[in-house]
Amino acid sequence: MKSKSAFTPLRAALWLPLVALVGLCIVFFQSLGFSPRNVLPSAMLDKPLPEFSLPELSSGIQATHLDMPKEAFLLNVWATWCFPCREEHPVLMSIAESGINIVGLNYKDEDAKAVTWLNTIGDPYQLNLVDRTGDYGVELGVYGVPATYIVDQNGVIRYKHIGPITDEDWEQKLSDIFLSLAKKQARA
Amino acid sequence: MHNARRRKSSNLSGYAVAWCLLAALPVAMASEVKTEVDLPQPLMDRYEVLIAELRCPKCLNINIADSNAPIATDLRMVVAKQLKDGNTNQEIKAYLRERYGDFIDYDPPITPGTLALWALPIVMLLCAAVIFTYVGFRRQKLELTAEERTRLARLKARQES
Repeated sequence: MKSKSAFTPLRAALWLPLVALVGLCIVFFQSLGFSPRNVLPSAMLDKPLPEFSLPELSSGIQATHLDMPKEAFLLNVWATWCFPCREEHPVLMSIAESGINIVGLNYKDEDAKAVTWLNTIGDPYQLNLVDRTGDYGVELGVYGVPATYIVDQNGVIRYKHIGPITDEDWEQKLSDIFLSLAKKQARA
Repeated sequence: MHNARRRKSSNLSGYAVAWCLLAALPVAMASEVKTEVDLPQPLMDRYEVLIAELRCPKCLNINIADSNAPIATDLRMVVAKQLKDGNTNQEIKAYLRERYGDFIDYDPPITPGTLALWALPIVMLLCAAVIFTYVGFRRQKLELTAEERTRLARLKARQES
């Protein structure tokens, strides 16, 4: 004869809803302070940079995806009308100083304003593509400025950062991703 | 007294006018969005269906038809251009999904993730059904057999004596 408190699989199973409820509570509570704004997954990851032919900002010469750096680089989407880009600018300057190639995509901007911006506060870019209409932005899946893509030596997008890059972003996350790509290239 | 009341009522009508203007604002904005493209008729209908089914990637939970975000305008232009180029609705959605992810489509395709989402309630109902039948089965089993019943009666009789 089994006593009332005997352990049975059924009795154990009766605890499951409570355990599930507590689990859900923890998940929901943690999600409270979490804004989904910056975590839209990029569909472009691990795909080659879409082909393009866009004028270069300073020279006006048409540049294509074939003119991109042959090693890993950052593709930074920016505009003079974009307020957070100004905040991001010194971070880009220091990244460029450390010898990393940054290609700019001047997005829905005016050439004259963009040139003035670079002349007055500094130019971290190796070259700047001009996307006057935002068409190439759509090709890239850009929906907000600034946005930065990490592109590997084969021209494949490896990472997308949305919003301005802060020093912490770079030091704690992006530089590691970038350096691991550079290492892979050195090994190859 | 009379004056005060009149002032109050004129205040009220002021509020009413303000509210009416506020209420009319979205209508004005919506019509502005609609008149920005000019497509021949069968395309225009498809255009309106498509922009209602596509989600603005910038603003979260508003479709590109109702959003005034610059990216929503761009995407409406992309849709209009691709319609003019003779692309099908599926092709246009596939193009945008490729760039902005399934997120952009308010009618997302079936993926392992969405399948799990749909299957979860059914699985949970099945689990509940299994638990309930098991409990019912056990309760039936708790009923004493004839042999046990006579034994119980004997034990009771012994205790009473």
